[in-house]
Amino acid sequence: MTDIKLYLIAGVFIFCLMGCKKPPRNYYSDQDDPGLSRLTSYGYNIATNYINGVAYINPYNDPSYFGLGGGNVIPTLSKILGRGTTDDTLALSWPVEVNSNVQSNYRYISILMPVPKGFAENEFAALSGERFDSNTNIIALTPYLADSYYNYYNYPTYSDSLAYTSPRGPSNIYFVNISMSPSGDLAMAGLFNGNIGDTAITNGRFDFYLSSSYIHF
Amino acid sequence: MIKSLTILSCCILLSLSIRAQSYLGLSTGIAKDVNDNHNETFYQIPVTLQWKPFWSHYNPFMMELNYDIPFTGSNTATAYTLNPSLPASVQLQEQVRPYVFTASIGMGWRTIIDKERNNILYFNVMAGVCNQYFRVNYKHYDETNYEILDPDVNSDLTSLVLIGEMAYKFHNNMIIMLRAQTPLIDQYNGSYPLSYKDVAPFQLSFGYNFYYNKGHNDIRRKHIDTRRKRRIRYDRY
Repeated sequence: MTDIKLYLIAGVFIFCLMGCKKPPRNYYSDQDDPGLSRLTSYGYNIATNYINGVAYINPYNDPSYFGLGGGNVIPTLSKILGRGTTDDTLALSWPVEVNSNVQSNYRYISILMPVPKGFAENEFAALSGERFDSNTNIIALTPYLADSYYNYYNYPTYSDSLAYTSPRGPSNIYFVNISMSPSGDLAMAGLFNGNIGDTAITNGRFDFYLSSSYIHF
Repeated sequence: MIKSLTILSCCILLSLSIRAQSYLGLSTGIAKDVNDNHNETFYQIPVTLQWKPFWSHYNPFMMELNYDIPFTGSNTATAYTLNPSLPASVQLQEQVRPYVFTASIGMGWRTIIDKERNNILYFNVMAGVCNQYFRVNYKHYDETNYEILDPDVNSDLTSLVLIGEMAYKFHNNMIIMLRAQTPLIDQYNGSYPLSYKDVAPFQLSFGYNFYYNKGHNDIRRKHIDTRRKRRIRYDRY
């Protein structure tokens, strides 16, 4: 009987090991822009850009035991309510790191868009194909030291509050493609760039797929 | 259908009595991809070199080299820019050129169609290694200002293929040939989606067979004739 139990445990263990497959990184190098991923619309949850010529990318989390979880860190899309009659702000934020094993100077990129009160998810989906000029939106960069004590994997929305206090500047953003599923999941692909003082954020591109649980408005 | 198969079987059996020869064949023509490439239709100019080194019927071994020079397959792509002084998006013409090289070995059988004119039908079955290199180019692409959404990229694929051929020799060793090649057995398994698939060229080509081992066959035929004559003499006595 003990032998059977041992065989069963060994069988389950082997079965679990067989199921271990790391989620893909989905980084496909752009030949024209070294260190950046191609502009895609496959829901790869990848975002890359240059900050002062250095390639940045959203991080990848290794899966836990038995291949559970892990993958590219997903952005948050949330609405920051304006006081009184002030417009609300839509914040699309994701953590970043240098796309090589080098110490990163920045932890988050946040794109802040003023939206009218009551702005809903389907209105966001209607922005598909819209290109916004630099006088419309803001880009914020959260420096690495600002939250060095903080575990952003556990508190992904922390970047939103940081976005208010982080250095910021004008931003161009182009939602090349946004689609919304009946269950409220959003797939979006686009381009962005911006300037914060002497810091130039260039050649930005993102390809996100957010389940409705990551959309906070 | 049964009648056709019977005729074909008879032809194959009859062919055993036909004098075999070694040859080197060179042909060219037009090839079309039949692997259901939804976005592009690929056409190529094939150049085929065949070599049957042994003259004997009992050794149908043959070799082939095939190189397909591609015509450009066209598709469209859209590129986007953040630069406010430029149009937000532009349509680009995507050009894909599949270069296909196949080296194969196999067996060839033949059957005579017209003994007087020495017209022969060949059936060849081969297996080989095929390299398919796809070169992607975007016409008038301003790569400084624009980004292509879901761009195609070059790919280099190599795998095994199977080949079937039917060739007809007529009029002083001229050849007309139909050649079909399977898609790559081990297909593209990269995770990045491409708009094109590996090609399976179906080609019609014309060419010429150079028969170079006639002397050897003449010797063999002379040898057979000598044996016959001896047998006749023996029968007379």
